[in-house]
Amino acid sequence: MSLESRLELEILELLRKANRTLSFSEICSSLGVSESSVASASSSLFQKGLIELSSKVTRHVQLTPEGEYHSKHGLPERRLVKIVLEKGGKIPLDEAREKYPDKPFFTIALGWLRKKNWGLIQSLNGVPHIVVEKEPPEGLDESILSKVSSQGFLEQNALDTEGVRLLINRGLVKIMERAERLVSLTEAGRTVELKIAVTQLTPELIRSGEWRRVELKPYDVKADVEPLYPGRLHPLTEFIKEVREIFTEMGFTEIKGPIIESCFWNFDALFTPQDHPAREMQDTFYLSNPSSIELNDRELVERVKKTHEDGWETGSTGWGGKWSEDAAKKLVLRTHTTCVSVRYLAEHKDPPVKVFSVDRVFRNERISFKSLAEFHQIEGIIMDEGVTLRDLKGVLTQFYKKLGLEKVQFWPSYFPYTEPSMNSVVYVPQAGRWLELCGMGIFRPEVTKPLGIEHPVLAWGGGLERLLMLRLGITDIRILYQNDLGWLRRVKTCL
Amino acid sequence: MPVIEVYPERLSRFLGIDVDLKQLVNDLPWLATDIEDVGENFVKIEYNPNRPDFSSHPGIARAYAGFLEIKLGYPEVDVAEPKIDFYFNEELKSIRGVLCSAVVRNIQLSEEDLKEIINIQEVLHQGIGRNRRKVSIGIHDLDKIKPPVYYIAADPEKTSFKPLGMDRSMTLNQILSEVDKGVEYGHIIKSFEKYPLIIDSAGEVLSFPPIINSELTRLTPETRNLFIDVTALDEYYASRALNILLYALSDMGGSIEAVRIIYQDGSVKTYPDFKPREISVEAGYIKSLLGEDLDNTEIYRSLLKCRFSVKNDGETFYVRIPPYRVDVMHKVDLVEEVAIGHGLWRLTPTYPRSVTIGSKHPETVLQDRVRMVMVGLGYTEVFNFIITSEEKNYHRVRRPVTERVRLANSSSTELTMLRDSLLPCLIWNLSLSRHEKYPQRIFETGPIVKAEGDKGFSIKLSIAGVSTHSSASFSEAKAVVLSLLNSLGVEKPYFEKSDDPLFTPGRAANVFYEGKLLGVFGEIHPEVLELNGLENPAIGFEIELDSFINKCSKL
Repeated sequence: MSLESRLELEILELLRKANRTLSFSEICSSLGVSESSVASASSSLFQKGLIELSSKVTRHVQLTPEGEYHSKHGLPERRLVKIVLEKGGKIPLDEAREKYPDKPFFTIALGWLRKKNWGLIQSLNGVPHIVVEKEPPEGLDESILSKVSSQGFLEQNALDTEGVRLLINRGLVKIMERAERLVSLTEAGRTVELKIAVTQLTPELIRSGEWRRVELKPYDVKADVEPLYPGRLHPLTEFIKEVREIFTEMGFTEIKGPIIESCFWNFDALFTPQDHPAREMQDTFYLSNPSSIELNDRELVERVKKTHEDGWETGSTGWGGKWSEDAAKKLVLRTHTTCVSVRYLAEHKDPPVKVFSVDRVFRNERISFKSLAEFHQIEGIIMDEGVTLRDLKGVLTQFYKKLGLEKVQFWPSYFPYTEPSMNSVVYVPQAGRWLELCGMGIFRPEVTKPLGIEHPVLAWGGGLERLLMLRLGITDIRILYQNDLGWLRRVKTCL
Repeated sequence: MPVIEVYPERLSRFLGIDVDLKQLVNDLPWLATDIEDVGENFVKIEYNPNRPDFSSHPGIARAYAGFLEIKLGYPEVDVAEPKIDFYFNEELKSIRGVLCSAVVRNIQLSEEDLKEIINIQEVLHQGIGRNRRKVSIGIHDLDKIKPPVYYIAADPEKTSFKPLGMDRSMTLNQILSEVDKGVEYGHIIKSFEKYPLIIDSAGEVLSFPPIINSELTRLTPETRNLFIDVTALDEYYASRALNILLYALSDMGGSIEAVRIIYQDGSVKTYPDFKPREISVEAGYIKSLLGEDLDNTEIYRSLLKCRFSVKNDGETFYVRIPPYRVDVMHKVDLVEEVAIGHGLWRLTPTYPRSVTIGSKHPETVLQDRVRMVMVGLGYTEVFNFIITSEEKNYHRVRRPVTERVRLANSSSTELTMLRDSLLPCLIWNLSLSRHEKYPQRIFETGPIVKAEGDKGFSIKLSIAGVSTHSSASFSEAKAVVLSLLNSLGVEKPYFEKSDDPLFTPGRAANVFYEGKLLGVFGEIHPEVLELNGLENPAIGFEIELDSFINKCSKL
């Protein structure tokens, strides 16, 4: 059983020791605390069923102001006796009156002296004298008066004695009635183990071992608490990490490349014709400072130029027309990460090559709920002897499976730099529909041959944000880049 | 990508059998089109720009008939001998030097046919026509024309005619400045002294290519015979565009008749050019790319389904490509056709055999670790755009505008340059969350781009953070920087006062390590707080990470 305070504990211990009913006033004087503290502790103990509370009307004596006075100085008759005895037991009445310090009480003193038979009035030589033979013993009234004055109360059984009656009659004390509150132990109060309830466990309690003697107060576990916001990773980071892990688990190596790229690597090396709509200003961000970059690999530039114009040695017709190196030198913000892959392949021609990137790409698009000017692209590349379109299907099927997407279909599609090309359409359970995700294919010979790559290159890519939006159940892509701290603190982690 | 609404009823007319909506929704994706939307009586499909022949019901029906094996092999279209001559003026060689033409007779165009013809024309203009710059097409009512026809270079001021849709005659210059199409496409020819014009023997204007036709030759439901001109910069694409249109008109019931182009030197070319190109492809090549062991019969049948004519000589297939196809440039394109003809769904998934070991990029390894440190310090990650503006990157943080990498062609004043620091955006981010609980701590790691002279730039990996609450102070910033640097293995960095105006003077420091400036931190200047609408003190830091890449993954 836990107690709210040390006082409760002390009250119970006192009751156990006394082994009887105690009044508030007894408790107060034993513990040296105020009656109001005892009252509140008792009420708490009562609620716990540890004590019973009752009350009894009690009488007690109280000194009147006169009684107060006489308790200090002695009863008037006693004082008179003292004066008489000092004079050898006989003193003329007038002299005694003269010597008596409190004139108003002299008559009273004389009256009580005679009434109590402590002395006589005798005429000696015609002069009235007060005669006292010996010091009279302390009377009942005197002892009660001194007791009331010293301990403040009288035992109930002393209230009805002769002495008290005497004092009442003389107007020195009066009997007052008071409702006294009484405390007694219940059975539980007698037997239960006593501990103090504590809200906060403190180092002090632990160090002193006192924690054993206290009970840690149970809380309302349903009560609200102040929300707590940990530092967190952005959902994009969490998801990119997940995708990255899938790739590395599947044996892919991560590659990176510059976000600023020449048209040559972004478009021309990928056999995108120079008048392709994607290269136009309204689709691609061009730079004005700096605006172009020199193309250093002259042989490669020459091969790409010929491939565009007439197919070079690739067996292709090419796009026809004149290929402009100036157009290829222009700098753009990369529109896809495929340029990163192609650059890597140009320098790593020995099979097998299995690389991936999850990185930022740029499109000159109006920002809306479904499109951004900057977003992330997922891209994977496999270059190896004898890899096939069926392998590409297999790799993508595994990739999606790891993302939790089990139903995949592959439809024919078109991209300028892959042939055959496919689109993967995935059934997304959360959305309850089929969704087009990654584009893919085998790099065209017009792409690989100028780079000196001998083996087929399987490639696929797609937007990361769209997948993440499905995960998070959001329909406005802008939320991902809004950086609203309220959203970032409360969004469900996607893992 | 171009789209078209396909109506089963209309498609059935060209297929010769009835198909319903459900079947179309199931089948059309296998022809490399995407279902965009399914209406009550149509399916809206998106097709790839390499198949402009999908711009009409007859075009789709031609491919679909092969898929359904209703019609196999090469679709032949007869061409009648030319009766009309079209004279080419040499002056046009440098202006718009390619001219093709054809006549279609005895055609009865329904309203739907007319709409479809206009759609084909639009798609060809936009796609292979590159918004009319490379190729543009004019279609006229032949019976309003008095042949022969002349392609001439005309004086923009002295030549006038009544353009399509207008009620008065206008000069060519007026058309460019007053008529919608003139305003839209005038830039293609404006730089020339004379403009291309097509007139007949009576001197009546048929067309002002690539801008607009004349009202005179407007097509109506009563039109029975068509005269078509194609002007262009590139002969191959001009003749393909003409072919795509003619195949559709032939399917709609017209008879194709050739037109003779007569050049000033007396040479003559006759269009349309329906001569098929021939490409050969080996069975082994097809099988190796697809990974499917197809026999010759299956390859043969698949190619016929894609409407090619095929001769098979053991290993090699000699394939003739119909003249409306612009997408077959290489034998690899035929591999895809085989996959489509065979049925892509029949190629079951396999997995490449090579064993490879995966790994993360060192930059990623570093960034991930740094992110964990920041999260541990109670910072929440944000993602901002790399493209920013002078307003955000400089003005709003009191930094002077310096040399920077700028965009040439942004349509938005908010996207004008590449960020050269992460801090400005982070400070701006806080303005969005003033009502959130404090302290607020955010960080970002990613690339920043510094301009280096006229020709150069360098891309750096950076990390930055800001923290705001009522008692944010320099010592907090310094403690965070020290903690971060310590985790990066920096033992004893040293500090010097920084005068970066983003910070309060006297309360900012540069941090150096081994003689190299790593970054800056301090109390953010009250004016910056005010400019960003922040009401609590804030601190910030930014550290360049490049020198730590590769370090944290080594023993």
